[in-house]
Amino acid sequence: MRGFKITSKEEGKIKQGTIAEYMRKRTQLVGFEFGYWKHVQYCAEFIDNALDAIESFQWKEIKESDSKIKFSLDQELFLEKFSILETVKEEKKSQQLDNEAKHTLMQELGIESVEPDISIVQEPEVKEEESGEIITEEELEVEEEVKRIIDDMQEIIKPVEFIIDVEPIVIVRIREYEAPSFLTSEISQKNIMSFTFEIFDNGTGMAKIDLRKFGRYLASSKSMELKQTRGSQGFGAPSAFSDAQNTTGKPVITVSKSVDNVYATVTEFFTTSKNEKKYLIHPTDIDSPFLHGTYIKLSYLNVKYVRGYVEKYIEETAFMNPHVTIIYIDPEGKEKIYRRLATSFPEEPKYAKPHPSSVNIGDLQDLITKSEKKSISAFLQDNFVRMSSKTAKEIVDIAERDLQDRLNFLILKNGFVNLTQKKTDTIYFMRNEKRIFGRSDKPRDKVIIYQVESEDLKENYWNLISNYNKSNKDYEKINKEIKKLNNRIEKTETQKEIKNIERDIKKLLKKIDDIRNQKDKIKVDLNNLFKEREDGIFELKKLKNRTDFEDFVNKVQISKVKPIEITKEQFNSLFLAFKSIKYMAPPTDTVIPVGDSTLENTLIKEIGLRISENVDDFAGPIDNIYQTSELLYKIKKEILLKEGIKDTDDAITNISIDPEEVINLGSEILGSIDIIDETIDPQQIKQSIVDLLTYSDTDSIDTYQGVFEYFIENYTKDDDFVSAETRAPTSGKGLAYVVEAVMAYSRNLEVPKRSRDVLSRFVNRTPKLRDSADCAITKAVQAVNWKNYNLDTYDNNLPKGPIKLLVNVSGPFVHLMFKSQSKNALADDEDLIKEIKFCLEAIGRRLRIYLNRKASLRKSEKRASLIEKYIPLFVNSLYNIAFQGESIHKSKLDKKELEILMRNAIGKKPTPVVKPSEVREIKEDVIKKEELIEEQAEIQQISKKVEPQKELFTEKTLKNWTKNELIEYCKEHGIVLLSKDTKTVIIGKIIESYKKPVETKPIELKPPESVKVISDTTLPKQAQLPISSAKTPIKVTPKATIPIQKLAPLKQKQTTLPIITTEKILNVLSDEWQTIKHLIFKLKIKDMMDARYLQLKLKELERKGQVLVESKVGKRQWKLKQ
Amino acid sequence: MAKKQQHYDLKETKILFKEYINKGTEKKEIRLPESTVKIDDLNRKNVLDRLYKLVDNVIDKINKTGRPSIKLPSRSSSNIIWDEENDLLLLGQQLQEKQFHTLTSVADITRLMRILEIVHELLVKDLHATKREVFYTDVKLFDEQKISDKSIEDAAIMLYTTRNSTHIVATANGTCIGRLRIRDKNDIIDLEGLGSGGWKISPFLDNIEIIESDAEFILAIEKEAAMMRFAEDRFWRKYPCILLTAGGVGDIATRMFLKRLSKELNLPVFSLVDSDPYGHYIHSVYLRGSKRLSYESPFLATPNIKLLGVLTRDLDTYKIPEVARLKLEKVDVKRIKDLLNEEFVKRNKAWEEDLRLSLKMNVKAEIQALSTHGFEFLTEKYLPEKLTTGDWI
Repeated sequence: MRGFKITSKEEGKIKQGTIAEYMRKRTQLVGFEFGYWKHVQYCAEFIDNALDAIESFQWKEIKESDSKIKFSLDQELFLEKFSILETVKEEKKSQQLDNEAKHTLMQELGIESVEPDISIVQEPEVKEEESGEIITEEELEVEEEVKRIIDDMQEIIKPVEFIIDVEPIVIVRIREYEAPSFLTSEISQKNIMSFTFEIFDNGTGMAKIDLRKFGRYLASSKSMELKQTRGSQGFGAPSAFSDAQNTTGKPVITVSKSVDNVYATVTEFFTTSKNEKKYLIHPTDIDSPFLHGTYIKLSYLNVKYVRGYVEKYIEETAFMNPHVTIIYIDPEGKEKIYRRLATSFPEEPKYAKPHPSSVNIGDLQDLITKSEKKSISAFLQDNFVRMSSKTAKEIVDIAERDLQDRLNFLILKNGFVNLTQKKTDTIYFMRNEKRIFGRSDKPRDKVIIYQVESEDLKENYWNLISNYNKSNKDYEKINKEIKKLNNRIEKTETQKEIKNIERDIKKLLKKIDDIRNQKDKIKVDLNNLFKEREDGIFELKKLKNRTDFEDFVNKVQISKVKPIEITKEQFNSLFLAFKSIKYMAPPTDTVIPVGDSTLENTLIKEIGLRISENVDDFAGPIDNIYQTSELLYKIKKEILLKEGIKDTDDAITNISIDPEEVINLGSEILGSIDIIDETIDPQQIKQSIVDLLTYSDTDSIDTYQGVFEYFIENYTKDDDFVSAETRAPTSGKGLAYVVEAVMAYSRNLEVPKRSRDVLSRFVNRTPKLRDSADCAITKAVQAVNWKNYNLDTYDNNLPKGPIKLLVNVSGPFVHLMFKSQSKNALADDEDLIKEIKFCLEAIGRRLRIYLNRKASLRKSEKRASLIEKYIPLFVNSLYNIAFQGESIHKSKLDKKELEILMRNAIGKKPTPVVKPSEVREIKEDVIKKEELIEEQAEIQQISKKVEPQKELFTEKTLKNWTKNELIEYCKEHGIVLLSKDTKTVIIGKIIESYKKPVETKPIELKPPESVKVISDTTLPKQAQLPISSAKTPIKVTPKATIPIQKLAPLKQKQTTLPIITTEKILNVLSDEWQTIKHLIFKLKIKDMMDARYLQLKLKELERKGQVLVESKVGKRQWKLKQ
Repeated sequence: MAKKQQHYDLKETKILFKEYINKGTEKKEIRLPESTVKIDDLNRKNVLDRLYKLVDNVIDKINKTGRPSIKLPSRSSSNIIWDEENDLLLLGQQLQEKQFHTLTSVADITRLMRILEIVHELLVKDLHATKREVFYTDVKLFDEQKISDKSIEDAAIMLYTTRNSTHIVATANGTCIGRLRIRDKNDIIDLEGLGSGGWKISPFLDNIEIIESDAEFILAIEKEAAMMRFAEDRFWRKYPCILLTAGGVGDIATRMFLKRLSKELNLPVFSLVDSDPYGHYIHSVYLRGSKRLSYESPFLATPNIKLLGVLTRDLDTYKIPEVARLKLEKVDVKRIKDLLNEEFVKRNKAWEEDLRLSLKMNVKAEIQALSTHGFEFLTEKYLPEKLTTGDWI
């Protein structure tokens, strides 16, 4: 390897190393030790950079309103049959041997020199250098090498050329070669192979100047800003370069082009321990196949490639970065393409200034010495977030006060005075006076020092000062007390005691304020004492330690000092003041999460989850119900227009929509669709509704969103689960960050055998694969009680099941919270863990609902199969009796039909049947008959009692009745009584009446007839509707596929729907909490659609604020708002 | 060697007999309380009619909703009502609904329908089948005879009729012997002339017709062994009577036959059972029916049956020696206590007293205990004496 020369001169024993030197020898610190992870580390470092580059390019371009080169992202990306490898193969047919392969082969054979310096180029390559220019040999070699680089790069870029400037894309290729034996012999590990790592991104690219710095340690485009980026410090790539060189001795190749350059720049270089670059190919301009981007190629040694590490890293990267296409070609020649799935780019996170509460003394010191501001106040405002001029001034003020007491030197309004401890001490008073001094002949400010001589002045001074000193002592005492109380708070447990102590502390703090005011007052008094005082004070003209006093004056005035010139004492006071102030929480716009819907969609697409429409949420349809009235309005308007009424405007404004009309339209549409038929697929239902409402566009389709959901619920049985949650940005302790998680649950997913495979951790969209046990994210996941959410767990309390769980923490500051330089684990932080936990619990709750629903579906499926088993048996018996016997159905009995009817009823809520009680208002007679039939049907029919049930009472019972009751009873039952009849006579008559067969009206059970009556009564009502009368395109004719038999009960529903009106709902609501079941019962709802309508109505009322809602034990409850 | 046989005039029994004969002429209508379900003993035609009604109803339901269900009176203990007036256990008006589309009752309702199918076949062909036979028609569906038995009972109740009306019968265990002539379809059987074995009570009681009898009382005996004693002694020759045993708890056929005998002949009925709680229970089953078949009790119960013996107090009266007396076991004590809680026991003070006495004395004994005084003691002394003195409960 290259020598590690100490850069300092050979003097003394302690030698000065450089960071580059240090890091070069310790690449393992950043994850480059031998092992499977090393491959990942290479990918991680460069993919991070690539993604950052792509994002910064896009953000830059977005800012320019007329950018023509930004990624548009709205085109559909078809990469289904796309394959880089295939394209390469095609290309290669014409080529004889791969340069690289030849290259390696020759190395193996020892033909080629090991040191891959310029001599590499000396291989006997046939070149057709056709130009007649005389080129030096060296230049020729460079030329040759450049050509080879370009060829290599072209191999992976060419296939994507058609999208290279429009699609954000990252291509990674790792190739494996047998390592030269002389290299591996040194390393006593077996299976060491040589790898070539290539990465291309079409990010922002580097200009020549940047390219010079690239590869040096701590040269970073990001480290200076506190921004939410992946990498930041400039350790990654240089470390990778170091490792590459350390292991193979081969140089690093980069090709880069930014938009502003015409040519791409190619370089080949080594990095040195001096943190410099030694070029084999100096930055050279070449023609570029891409508009902007960077290509890097390097070689390293590592253990044999094993799948599963890099693949996982790249897969997870793709999950979190769906806005970029990522292509990975592994050493085995397999390529994996992660298509861009998102159609929008993440927003650019804002540059974040540090928040004062997260700044420590070292940071402040660094910043202050670097500052070029003129005043401390300006410095503070410039460098920190949440630092207003007022706060800055306050900090300086507090620092000054502190400093005055420390230096025993008080600032008065018109001068300065020293603070004496003893009465006998000399009192000095200073003030700035205009004097002519030095070379200038104009009067300038000069500090004039006076000694106080007059006794009364001394006396007055001392009176004030002793008070001042006393205040100081008091202040210290109070401070101590506060400390004590604070300690006590930590020990006490009850909230009440803590509150008491806090109250005490508040009192003390108030006292401190008083003391401060008192001190200020004293200062004012002192000022008054010395102000413009000429006598009693004695100007010290020739004072030996005059400069000391001048120093004091300068020192004490922090507000006047320049940040760079700040002294130690001043700084200490300043830091104290800086920390003593309470700041507003940091702004949260500095963090940009991936976003929950993006996460969900990505998982759905990447894992191939089965997700139908989300049916759990029915927030939408209410607005849509409202739309129905708009629809009606339109219809009415059209009619008016057609009729050609003159006062069209007036008429239109007078159009009013009756809620009943809305409902009727709804039911009319519902009535024409068979919701029971499971064989109709939801699309078809949708389509038929659309057909029905041909005149209208999206409005009408949306109107029945709620209804669709109901249908679709039946078709989402096999759905997988996916749910993401993005928390609001949190800014605790000066760190603004955002936590988000997404979980998928699918039977198609395998249950991971190892617990660590369940959870994927991300920080700023970068996957973190290592050190999972140490990570705060893991700890937070473990802290969740997954059993609560019906999930099994591993021994370490990570959730177990066919799930995939991704947790991402984003924020500009998070890199500060990593446990180590390799950035694999987040440090524990109470708030962070809490945030993640909340986030996961939100998802968990949704998962629980899903799993419960799944379980109940499974149960009902099981139930259905069991019930189905019995159907043929049952029907067979039934059929045999009916067919062989004298059933009225004998002639038209069909076994198959019965079976089908019964089978269809499995797993359904009882099919809506209009109970006569619901249509009572419509026609009393019919209802009464129906009711009678209903009530008698069961027992009476069978026991052959044709007469209506007349309660038969024994003599004994009757005797217990009063005479009046008996008379009533007789009246009801038509027993003739005489007015003089005694009780016993009446009873006798009643008993007698039992013996006579009671004449009854012959009632036959003919449901079809009664139904007809019902619809007859309602039809005219409908006819009044403009919809049906005006021949609007609504066709209520059923589709041919819908059996007419089933339509009949559906028709009836038109009459039942209006039963639920807002009024009625409000009537049944009371001051007590009631669940939907209560309300359904009270409203006598027997129909699923009614119940649904009720739900919608309730939501509407809730929105209008007429009812109160509360969730108890997972059930919503309603009551009237008082 | 033969001791002169003492002849008893059965004075008290004869009084009872005359009373019954007189009472019998004025037929008493049993009026069931309004809160109970009326079960009818129907002929074939009527049962079929009801069956068709029920089937039509089910088909209607399927056509309407696809979800058939059948309602039938609940047979849970909460729905069993003791009718004080008639001293009968009856079914209340609680209904249970067997729905096809629920897991709990899908098997039930299917079995019920299968039973109805069988019943239909039996009725149409006018055949009878035993419960066992029915079970074997579809073992796969019924699984256990216990289950098919339950379905059979449910089916009967579903049609609001007795099980007998469904032409499904239980195998009968009973034997009858004594002064009675009956007709079984075409055969006329004289129960006096059947040797010591007697006539095995037929389960197909529909076919049995009682022709005539000159007996003065009926004796229901718990055990076959005791019965044999009577048969050997030709007891009915000396004291005109009909003897009947079920060999334990009375099965339906036996009980129904006894009921018919007592009803048609208007004879006093006595039971002779062990002096133990089980014996008392057997008596109670003859008296008011078993709980399981409570709804049929109007057709099975013989409410005027008298408990003749062996009473606890008899043990002392007839000086049964200690060797023949047994101690009560825990089960016995419990049974006695259960019995004491029953309404019909509470109402019968003498009975209650006797049960309490057995508890107090901690004693029980079998009928055979009387044999300690000689094998003829039962037939020659004990029974005639008690029948004469009216020493029954």
